[in-house]
Amino acid sequence: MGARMRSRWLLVLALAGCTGSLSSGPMTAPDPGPGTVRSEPGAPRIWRLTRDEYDHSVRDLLGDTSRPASRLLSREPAEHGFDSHEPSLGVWTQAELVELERAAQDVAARAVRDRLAEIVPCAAAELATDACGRTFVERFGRRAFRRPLSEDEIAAYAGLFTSTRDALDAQAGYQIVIEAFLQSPSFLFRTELGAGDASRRGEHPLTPHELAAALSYFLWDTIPDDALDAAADSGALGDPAELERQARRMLDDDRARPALASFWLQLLGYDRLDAAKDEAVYPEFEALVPSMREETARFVAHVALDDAGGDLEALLTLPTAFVDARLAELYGLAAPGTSWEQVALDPAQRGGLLTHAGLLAAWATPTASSPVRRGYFVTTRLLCQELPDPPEGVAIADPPADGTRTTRERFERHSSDPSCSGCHQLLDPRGFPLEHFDGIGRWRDEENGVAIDASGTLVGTDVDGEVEGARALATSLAASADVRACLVRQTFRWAAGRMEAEADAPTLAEMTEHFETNDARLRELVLGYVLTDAFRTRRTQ
Amino acid sequence: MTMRVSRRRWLAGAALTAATVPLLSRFARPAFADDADTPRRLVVLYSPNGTVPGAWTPTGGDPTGSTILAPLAPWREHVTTIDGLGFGGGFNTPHSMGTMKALTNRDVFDARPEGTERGVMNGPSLETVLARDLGAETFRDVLRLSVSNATGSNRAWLNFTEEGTKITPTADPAAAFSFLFPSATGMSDPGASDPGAPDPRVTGMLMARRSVLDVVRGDATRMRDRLPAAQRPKLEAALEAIRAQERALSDALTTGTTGMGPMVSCDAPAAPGSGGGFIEKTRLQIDNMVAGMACDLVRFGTLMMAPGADSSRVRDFDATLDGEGYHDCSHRWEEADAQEKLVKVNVHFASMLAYLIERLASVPEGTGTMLDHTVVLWTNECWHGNHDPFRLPIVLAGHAGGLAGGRVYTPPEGEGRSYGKLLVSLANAVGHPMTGFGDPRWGAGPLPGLFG
Repeated sequence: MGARMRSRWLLVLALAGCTGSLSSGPMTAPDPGPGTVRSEPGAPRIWRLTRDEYDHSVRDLLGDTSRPASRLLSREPAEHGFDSHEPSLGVWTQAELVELERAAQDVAARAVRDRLAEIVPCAAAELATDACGRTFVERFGRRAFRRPLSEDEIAAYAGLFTSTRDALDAQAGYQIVIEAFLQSPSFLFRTELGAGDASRRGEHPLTPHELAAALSYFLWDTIPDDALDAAADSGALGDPAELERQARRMLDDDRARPALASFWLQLLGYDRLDAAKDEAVYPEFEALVPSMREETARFVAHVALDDAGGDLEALLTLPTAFVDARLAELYGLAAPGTSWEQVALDPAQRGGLLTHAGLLAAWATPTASSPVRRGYFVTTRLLCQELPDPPEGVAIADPPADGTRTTRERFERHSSDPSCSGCHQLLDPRGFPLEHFDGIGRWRDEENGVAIDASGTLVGTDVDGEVEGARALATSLAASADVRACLVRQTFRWAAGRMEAEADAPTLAEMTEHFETNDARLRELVLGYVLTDAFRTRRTQ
Repeated sequence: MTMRVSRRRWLAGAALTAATVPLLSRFARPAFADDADTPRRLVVLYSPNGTVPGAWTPTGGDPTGSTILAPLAPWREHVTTIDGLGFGGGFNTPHSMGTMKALTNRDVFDARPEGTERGVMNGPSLETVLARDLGAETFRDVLRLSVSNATGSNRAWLNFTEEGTKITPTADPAAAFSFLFPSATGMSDPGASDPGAPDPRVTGMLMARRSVLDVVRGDATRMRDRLPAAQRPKLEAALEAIRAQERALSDALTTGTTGMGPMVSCDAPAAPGSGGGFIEKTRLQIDNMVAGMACDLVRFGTLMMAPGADSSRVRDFDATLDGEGYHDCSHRWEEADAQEKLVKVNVHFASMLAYLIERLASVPEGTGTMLDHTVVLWTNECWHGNHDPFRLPIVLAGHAGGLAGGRVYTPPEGEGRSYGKLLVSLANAVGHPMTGFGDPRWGAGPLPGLFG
């Protein structure tokens, strides 16, 4: 760790009371460097599929849309805010093996029962032949393993087919072969090992097949399609220009939408919607949760991917919403004619991500809005600033609603109690501008008969100043280089499956530059990582 | 370490029904000659977010003498309550720091300055060590369960590998059941015929699945050999798990003589569904734990009833908490209306312990019941909802290792109050000779005068 970073960290650790500015976390802004700084490749690794990736892969392999992994596998430890955490995705206990076995058996049984004719590459009369079994092994295995099978592998899986067919029947043969493919580490693990001669810098390029899988799991959360497979087979994908062309093509495909939405929903903390709300206060909440998730998923995909692709400002301020009947009612809009409809919003009240009901509900308490939690969201998720833990022994509880004061008044103790005010004088004013929205994101003009005061302040950012209301907050954040750098960092964490380290500074700098020179268009966030050496190469061990 | 009951004895019984569906519905369980011959087990129950100190603390020397502990009153003679143990190290902020300590007795790294994740563990949890040293003789070395896949705090993990990597417990009772009682044909198998009817297809599928594991093991071996050293443990673990699964299937296929002495039959319970609310699922997981141990398929188990900082939307709890999140409510532990709710939640957890005790006591074993050869730990990461880790609400049940029961144990002042000593005592009670566990700065050796 460089001396500059270390001293900065010591400073942060000393700031237990947040009396100065906040740290921007493990990474400081990278040095501009002498112009030759290049991104540093990560270590070679294998990386188990997340539950989402597993589910999408069996959907594309076998047409199985039942989400078996989400039903049958235990959740991933999401260490750094995202389910894609490579260091944790690797433990494979006996209990997990049993889960994976159950999932494979579940998928395979359904596949041969419901879709045998579609998945087997020959006519019904040929079904039981060795040739048909072998062709199935080659074709299915190619897609499941994201690379051509070796002769040994073909022989092993084809042997499995014939022995099972002989003992039972052809259908059981296909079933057993599918079970085996889905339990193989070559399906369950993405490999990022690299091959070939090391460059002078000690780097190995990923193989074209590893690159294709890395690209498709990053952009689509699933296996490559035929076009990407072909680019891998021909070796063309090794050319950075072809890699970029494929990536841009894939972002134009509908499969990019759920993957991108998944990133944003995780970044925005939508898992917090699993927490209970007080039914006496918010009886409609539980039924709204799926709509809240869907709205944000549609919105981010629309902004990032539709037309030319929107930018950060559009994401934070666009007065457009996707609503169903439930959300329309919550937002005070006319009910849509169809199940989901794109509608225009009154920008004086609502627009952009920060005013989504899901976000506002996720960062609130079970009974009320919470300027602290919303300020914490802005601070940690959008600005990537780390906060010290609250002092030991302090009662960490939201002041109780008493039906007389406003939320803002209740939280004023934070700025009067010196052990709290250090952090909370920074935190709470970042959440106050969202006070027009209650604990599930409904607009309000007053609380307990008192008019809402939505004035807040940004301090400790590159866009410091007074902000009144959600729109002003969003406009300020949309102009923030700190926010743009943070989104780059979050993208890296999601895509690389780990927290950034000092060695990643050049990679982040390259990604940031790409994002900035492309006018902060959101799709370029993703592309920025694909174009780095860190994506394409692995360090020699 | 010599084990008194071998895996061979288990599988000799399992083989008796190798051609029926579901395959392993009846397990033979060794008829233990006497109590000294009987396996000893450890079960850990974990509940989060502290207790309500005033309603938990037992009075009058009665280990069940408080509002929260009252559900345990029928089992008073089997219960030992411990008041006064605390974690080493600093405050539990956040809750997950304490959850991670509860079975590791280690500090959680705050490694943020190095750019890695916050909350990193560098060593194993207790059940991992017991599984490693004592677990090889049973069908499964350890059973790690939870009740919900929902996140409380994402970092609230209880179980860790040797290297300190998080292990996800099995949340689905049906999955835990098939881990213990594998069926020959798997779920939703179109080839499965009526239960009870002998079916050559079953044996065929079983043999095919053994070949599947063979192929998968070949793939895993090839991949392992290509990996840099740092990545190999991932596939070593996979290979170990595959080998264990192969043994299970081979055992199931083995027919033949037992020659192992008299057996008593052990009925596997009916497979549980995956539905049901929180309380129902907790019961099902306890049923799984007891069934696995009654058949001597596993001897060490953990059940995280909820993770630290849990606020998941749990229907059964919503009624108790009026919709308030458990974690949120626990932070208001000093307020009367919150205490009322928190007492109800903790009474629920105590009643789950009572249910576990009842189930263990219902299985005859030797001259007594399985409870005589089991020790249960019910633990928590906090004293109250505001993160105090220096006094913990601990309850033990059962008599493995000579635990007397029927009393409140107060640990001696000073180092004697170290929670790690309790983990050493529990390991000793089930036959592990360790003298220290976790961070040595926090004290070594067992708790004096607790056992024997």
